[in-house]
Amino acid sequence: MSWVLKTDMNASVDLHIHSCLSPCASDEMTPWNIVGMAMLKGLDAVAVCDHNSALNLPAAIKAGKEYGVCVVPGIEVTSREDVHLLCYFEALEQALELGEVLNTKQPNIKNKPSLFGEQIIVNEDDEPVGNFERLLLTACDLSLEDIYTITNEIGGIMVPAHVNKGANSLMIVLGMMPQDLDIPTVEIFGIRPHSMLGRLCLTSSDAHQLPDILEKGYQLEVDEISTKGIIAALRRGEKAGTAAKGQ
Amino acid sequence: MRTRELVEKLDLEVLVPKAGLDAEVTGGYVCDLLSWVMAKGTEGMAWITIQTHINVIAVASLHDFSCVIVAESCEVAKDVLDKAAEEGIQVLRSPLSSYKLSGMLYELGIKN
Repeated sequence: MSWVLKTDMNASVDLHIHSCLSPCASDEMTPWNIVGMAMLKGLDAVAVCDHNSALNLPAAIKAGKEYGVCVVPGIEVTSREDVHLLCYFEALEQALELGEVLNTKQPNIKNKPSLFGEQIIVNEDDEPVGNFERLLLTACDLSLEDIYTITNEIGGIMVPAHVNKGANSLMIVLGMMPQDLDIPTVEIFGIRPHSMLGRLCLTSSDAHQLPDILEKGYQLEVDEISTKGIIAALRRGEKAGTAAKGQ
Repeated sequence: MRTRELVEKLDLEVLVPKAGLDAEVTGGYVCDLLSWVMAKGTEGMAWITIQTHINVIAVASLHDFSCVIVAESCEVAKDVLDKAAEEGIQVLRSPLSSYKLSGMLYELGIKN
């Protein structure tokens, strides 16, 4: 006799947190601090998503293993249209691959820390090893569709960030969802907009400082608490069996 | 031409008195995408926009723009004006559209 163990479970998540590499995030947002705070708040999984770079992800992944928190590697990419798109991956290597692509796609404007903030790179053990020189807040020379294609090719999933609010929101910039792309999940701010019916609406903190990381209570239904389980839930979207509770 | 002359000729509202009106206007630009302006901006530009997010000031400062001209009487929040005063960036305002403003700026001889 063979039997299948079903492991439906609810994971407490915050899938949009910036590290100190993002200039707008505070210097205390080191990867180990983020994951440590997530552990203290009782979260099962977090995603670190810096603007257009994956350089602080190795530290976040290592911290996750140490603290027993699942860390989903992500990047918040700025498209040519100035739309923010969260690209999530199962494996660190995939995020690093996207990071390498983006490295060639941003204009080479030097960051001015006094205006935008520091862009602090840390090693795996959270020690600062330098400041990233190029300003990470500019748009990449890639359309929304390009980013969708590249992310899929690498094996990840693209989730438009804060679609209903903010200067870089897809709905505010374009007014409508791109018709030809398969986007089962979007990140929203506040109450689920009617226009997003039929999609999984993620709520995340977009934290730029430690206290802003979500408290335990916002949950995602997953088959397993792992990057694989979370990516699978994002792919399922609103289909049977997946719902984000706590909205 | 200095921003003082722009204010007179285009009948602009001065929102940041502390930033003065002596900056030299070397060119003009019309764009509402911050990332775009970040990539294309040059020193002394008069930037016409309806975007009033606080990062407008950071972008204007990054490239040492002569001024930001807010079109269509868009509201500019106090924290944005405070930041502009801090950075020494002049913010001017007009009820006219970006289109009309840029046309008028061009007629004044700002052809870059």
